[in-house]
Amino acid sequence: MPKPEIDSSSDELDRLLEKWAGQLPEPPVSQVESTLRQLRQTTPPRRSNGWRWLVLGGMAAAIMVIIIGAVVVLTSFNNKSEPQAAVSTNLIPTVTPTPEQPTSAVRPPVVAALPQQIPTATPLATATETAPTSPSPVPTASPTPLIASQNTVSSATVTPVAPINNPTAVPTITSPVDAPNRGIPRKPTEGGVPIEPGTPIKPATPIPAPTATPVSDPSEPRLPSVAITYNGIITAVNANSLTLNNHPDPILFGPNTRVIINGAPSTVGKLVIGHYVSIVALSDNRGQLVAQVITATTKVPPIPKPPSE
Amino acid sequence: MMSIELADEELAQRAVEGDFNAFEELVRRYSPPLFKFAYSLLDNYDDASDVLQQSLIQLHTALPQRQPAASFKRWAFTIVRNKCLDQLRKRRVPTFNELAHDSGDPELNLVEQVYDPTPLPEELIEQQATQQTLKEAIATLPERYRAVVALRYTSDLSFSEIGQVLAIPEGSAKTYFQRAKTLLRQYLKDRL
Repeated sequence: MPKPEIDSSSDELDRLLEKWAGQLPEPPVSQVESTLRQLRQTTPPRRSNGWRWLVLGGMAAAIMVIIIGAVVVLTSFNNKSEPQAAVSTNLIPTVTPTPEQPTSAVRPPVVAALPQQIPTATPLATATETAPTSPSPVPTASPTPLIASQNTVSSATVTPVAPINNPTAVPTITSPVDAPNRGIPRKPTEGGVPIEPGTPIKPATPIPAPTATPVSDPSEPRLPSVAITYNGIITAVNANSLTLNNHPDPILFGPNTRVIINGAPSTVGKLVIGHYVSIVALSDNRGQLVAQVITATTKVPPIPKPPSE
Repeated sequence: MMSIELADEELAQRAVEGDFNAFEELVRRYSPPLFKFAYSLLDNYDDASDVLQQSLIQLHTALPQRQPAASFKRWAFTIVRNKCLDQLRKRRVPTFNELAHDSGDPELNLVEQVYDPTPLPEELIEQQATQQTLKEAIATLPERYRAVVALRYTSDLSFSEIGQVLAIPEGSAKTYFQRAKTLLRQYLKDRL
């Protein structure tokens, strides 16, 4: 065998090294395959970036849905508990005037709802040909909120309130004004006159659509309760109602309407012309006024109080 | 079967995205040079096999964390080299590498000093195996020199890439290679 000339030529060393590298053993194929098989079995498949983003997006969406759902549930719970709290106070429930059709072309004056003024309610009957024959006040609202929304929108605030869940809240309203008022709008079927085609129809009050069933009759749709606030100066007052400067129609008193004058409990008889009053009226889900608080002051305009106070 | 035309980086990216076939293709492509590199450093078949297996597992595990800009080939050889160093440390046998690093520069003098010329000339003549002598010569090289030589002849890495694998400058890689050849030439000159 010829002796390689390592010392004189680097090419010979390179050749030997290349030969050496070529003769190095090959890796154990079975071991490599086994390793790959184990890796394939033990390692879960990795997700692509798109898949990861999809998963993250889905998780974010789920979290958002949960948060929104929680907010909705809490809001609904608060709205439901609010009327109960209001009724549970010492507010004396009063009865609203008779409900009427929101689309009624001719709105009768509120005083017409008083028992002694029943005959004056005839125009109401003539104005609402489609008034319900049954005592159901379903699609109607109390006249007072209607007036507020039609004539003195700027001075009255309508706050929709969830229906009262407590069934005992509504039946406790037993005002003597209740019975006559209930009868008034039901007369239109007896002598009602159709609305003339040219009669302009005032916009309907923003009463929320009935979504619940009243306690008395499950078949009737229920209206959400509304809390209405009036602010103004008394321009006329008597034992049954008062009139505000910014509200031409009189506002009825209930027999147990709560009156506060200059921070002290008082009575409706102490109300005089010139008093600045803030009236908070709460209607139940049937459109009946269940509470009324009149806060009057002789000097500084009071801050409207919520019905629960 | 994965297309062989795909570049390493494309296969690595697919492997990261969950395509295990892409990883398999990388393994089949680089197992031989990686194993030869490990074997050249360890000079033991079983140890090289263990190192290759551990390296494959680490390649698969650490692939998602790999720098996208880094070359897969260079990264794979780096992992194998580190595994080989771990294996060498386990042996706890003083190597020329350690001795060479304990002193400053003169690897050549150390090789001359430490080398035990036990093989008799008659034995060398009897072996008549130049490759065996070369193998022994390579085994006497310091680890870094041996790594440079192994990388140079078992892979297609450039000196720049070899330097990146060994974490040394490109110039140092070239220097190590020349010194290694000098040592090998000296060794072989005395025995062939």
